[in-house]
Amino acid sequence: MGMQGNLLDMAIADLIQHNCQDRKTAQLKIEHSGRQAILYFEEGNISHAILGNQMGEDVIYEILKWEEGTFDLETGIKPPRTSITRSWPGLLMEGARRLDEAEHAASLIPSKQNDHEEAHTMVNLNDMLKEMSGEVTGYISASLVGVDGLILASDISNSAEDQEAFGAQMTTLLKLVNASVEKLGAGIVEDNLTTTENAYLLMRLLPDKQYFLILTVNRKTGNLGNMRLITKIYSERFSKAMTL
Amino acid sequence: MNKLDQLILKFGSELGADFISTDVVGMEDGLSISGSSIDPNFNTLDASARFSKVMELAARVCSKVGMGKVEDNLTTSEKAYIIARFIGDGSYYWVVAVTRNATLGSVRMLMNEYAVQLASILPH
Repeated sequence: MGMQGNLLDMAIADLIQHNCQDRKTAQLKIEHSGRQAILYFEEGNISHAILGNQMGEDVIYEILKWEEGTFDLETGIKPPRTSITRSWPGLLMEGARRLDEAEHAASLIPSKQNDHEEAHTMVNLNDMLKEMSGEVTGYISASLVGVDGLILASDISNSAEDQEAFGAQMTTLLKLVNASVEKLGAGIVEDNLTTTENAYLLMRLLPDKQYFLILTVNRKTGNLGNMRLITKIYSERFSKAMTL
Repeated sequence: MNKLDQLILKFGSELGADFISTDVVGMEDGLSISGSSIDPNFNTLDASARFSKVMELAARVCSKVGMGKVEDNLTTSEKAYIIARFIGDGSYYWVVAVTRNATLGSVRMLMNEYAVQLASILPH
């Protein structure tokens, strides 16, 4: 049994996610500009991938760049061998990171229009943080931070130096949490909440897993349910704003 | 079976079907001194040491920004809730993993109850 389609209708990252989440055993052939990649899915993960002479994770990172082409999915076909052991979310995260790096390198070419668009996005992000603050009970502060530790937007009143240190330390904490949860075999982290004497501190990853929101709320006046709901809503909004 | 192991087992059984695993870990060495797990896919021993670093770093960061002493840390992942909290004077921490079906409020309430008992029998 199989399915054919076009990458314009369904991106490779989506194909990977759906087949892994459905825990299919299947073979996926993808054609792009005369090249053919073959992926094998087994028990909720990608276990093998080939592209010409290449094999393994690098094939995934290469084909994630393909925006056009066709695919042919055949279920029930087992992989001939195992060349990939990383989890599918890990592969997609690493693939997204590599794509971001490549785009960032390309964007370093000076462009007045790029600078203007970037400034406009930053203003929007700060505005969105302010808007979010109005919806959070017991609000203290919020920041939007990249997984590289750099703060994109912040509502913290401390000095720039303190903000940077805070962003870097929270990133380290989130990465430690990610690594621990991965070792535990508990899947991808959605959020992390620290409860202290005086406050709740919530970190929530945006859908692309490249950025995360930090929200601090007063322990006495804050509401955990409200915190989690608002950060969930705004993480989607921030994600959309940054791709525009 | 010692008192600590008995208490840990009792805690796990009170949680019922939502229980996945639990460990009591020394903060100094990151080693588990008692634990229980019903899911063989959960690699708790390895993760215990890492979570001790999580608690250590969380405590340091929160202290630096004036948020006070850390009480607990809750991670939500695809498959589980993982709750870690310091026990007694903070020389141990206790980590509990439950399924996403668990009612968090009930789990935390039960942990509060058992944390007092754990603190009384752990060596200091």
